[in-house]
Amino acid sequence: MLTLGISTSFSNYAIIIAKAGDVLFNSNDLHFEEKKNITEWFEVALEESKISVKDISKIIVDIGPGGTTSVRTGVAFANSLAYSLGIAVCPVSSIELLSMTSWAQQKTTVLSLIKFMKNDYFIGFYDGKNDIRILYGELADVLPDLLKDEKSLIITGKFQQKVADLFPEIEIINLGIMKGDTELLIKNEDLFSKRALKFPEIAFPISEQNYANNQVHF
Amino acid sequence: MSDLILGIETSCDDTAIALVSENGDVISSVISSQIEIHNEYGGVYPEFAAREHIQTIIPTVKAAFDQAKISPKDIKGIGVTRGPGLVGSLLVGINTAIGLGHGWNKPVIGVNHLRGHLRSADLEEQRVKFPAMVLLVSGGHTFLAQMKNPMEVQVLSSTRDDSVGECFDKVGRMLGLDYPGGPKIDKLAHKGKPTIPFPRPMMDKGLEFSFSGLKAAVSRLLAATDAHEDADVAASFVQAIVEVLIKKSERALKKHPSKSFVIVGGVAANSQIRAAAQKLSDKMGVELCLPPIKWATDNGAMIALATWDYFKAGIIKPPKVQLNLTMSEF
Repeated sequence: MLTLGISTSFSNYAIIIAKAGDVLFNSNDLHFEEKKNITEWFEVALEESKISVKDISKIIVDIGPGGTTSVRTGVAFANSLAYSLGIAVCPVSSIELLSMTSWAQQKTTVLSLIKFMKNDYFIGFYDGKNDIRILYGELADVLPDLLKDEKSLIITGKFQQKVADLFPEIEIINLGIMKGDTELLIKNEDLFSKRALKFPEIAFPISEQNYANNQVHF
Repeated sequence: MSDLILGIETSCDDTAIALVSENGDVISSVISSQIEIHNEYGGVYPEFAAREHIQTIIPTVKAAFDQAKISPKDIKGIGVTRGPGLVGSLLVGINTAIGLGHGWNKPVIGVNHLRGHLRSADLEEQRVKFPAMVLLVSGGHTFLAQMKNPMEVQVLSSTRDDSVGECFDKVGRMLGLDYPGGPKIDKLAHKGKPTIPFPRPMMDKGLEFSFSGLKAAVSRLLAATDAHEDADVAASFVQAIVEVLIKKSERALKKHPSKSFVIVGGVAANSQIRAAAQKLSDKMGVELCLPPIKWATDNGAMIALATWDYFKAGIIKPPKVQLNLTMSEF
């Protein structure tokens, strides 16, 4: 029984295949001259790891936010593969991956920011104790309440200065984390499996629209 | 069994899935329309189209199999539109098709959307006699082509600017009609008289089309005066379009003798174009082949039938998006 991890939110697409938590294939370990799309990476994964598609029993997919078109390619592929195999798909936010990547390096509260539309951001707040909180809106509207008790925090992504300008009293730590460690899709499999969706439920890429409609599963 | 192809069409704003046999019998066809979503924008909003496709495509695939009462193991393969079209919409269809192909262990072939339209006239009944003169009139394309057989197509002319469907939608918007404007203009035109002398672009020359000037003429008239009834504007506009399309088709038929005259694409649903095409066919002694109106607009069945052609010709195109795919490509 194999787990397939798919991520297309970050600049490097990832296909990861694992068996009972052990990674058998990670596309980030390989390099090809020509850029590959996610389905081409999947075909490389099948060939390299010598597995059968039928052995995949679960799919964990990154649902963004990220490049809207690239996220959709991964989610569309994950949904259809899960449907055709009759297995579950487990959605994970790229914000969550970013935050967990940071937490794995330093156990300090993490604020992850991904700009989405105009001045609106997806904002992840993770303290390692509670489930990640994901909010959406302008930084000046969302952050004051979220950060009112914080004295220092790590910020992932490239918008540290914007937070520093809004909250000069908060110490901001920059670990230089710009993208999530996609192997966390597998390392946190038990947590993500709790969100398993089986048809007629399917995974949706995160957008401001389905966030507002409470259609995003975390 | 393996005698059906699953066709997947997501090039624009319809999520369309169908199961079709080798001779064009449509075993099932399910279309999830997005008209309500795009209506408020007066045209297709590409980002929202792609978002809707991803929500509806798997349920639509399921519905197509339920309607056909067959299992995925009973299909020969999957054909999916690879272009031309909107990138976000195409990618949802293609990545979905590839996932289904892996899960069901079926081949997946990328198909040219335009070739799907050309084959729509043979759905449910083999109507087309070759060589055939084809007029494709849709929201994205307008061209004349001669088909020697289902795979051999020579494009004779196309539009220099707007497609006919684009022109219909924009004029519909000018007249305050909901998207898509085509069917509503057709209905309105029947209530009016063609009293306004709109231009007939490039009427006297060659086979090429141009519709932007006609669209601009309607816009200028509506901006200058409200003295005309909307129904008369619609009737005059439709008459101009029909005359141009029929004149060019006649010229093409004279130059390239054909056994049948085929009109495909969403605008082929227009009642006045259909009536004028019948007259022209009678005059030229060719057989008129019109797909039933439900197959004139985008649908999965036409993609499935085109996929059969690809299979038979041994053209196994990988399902990769090509946004500006032309008629001469596969």
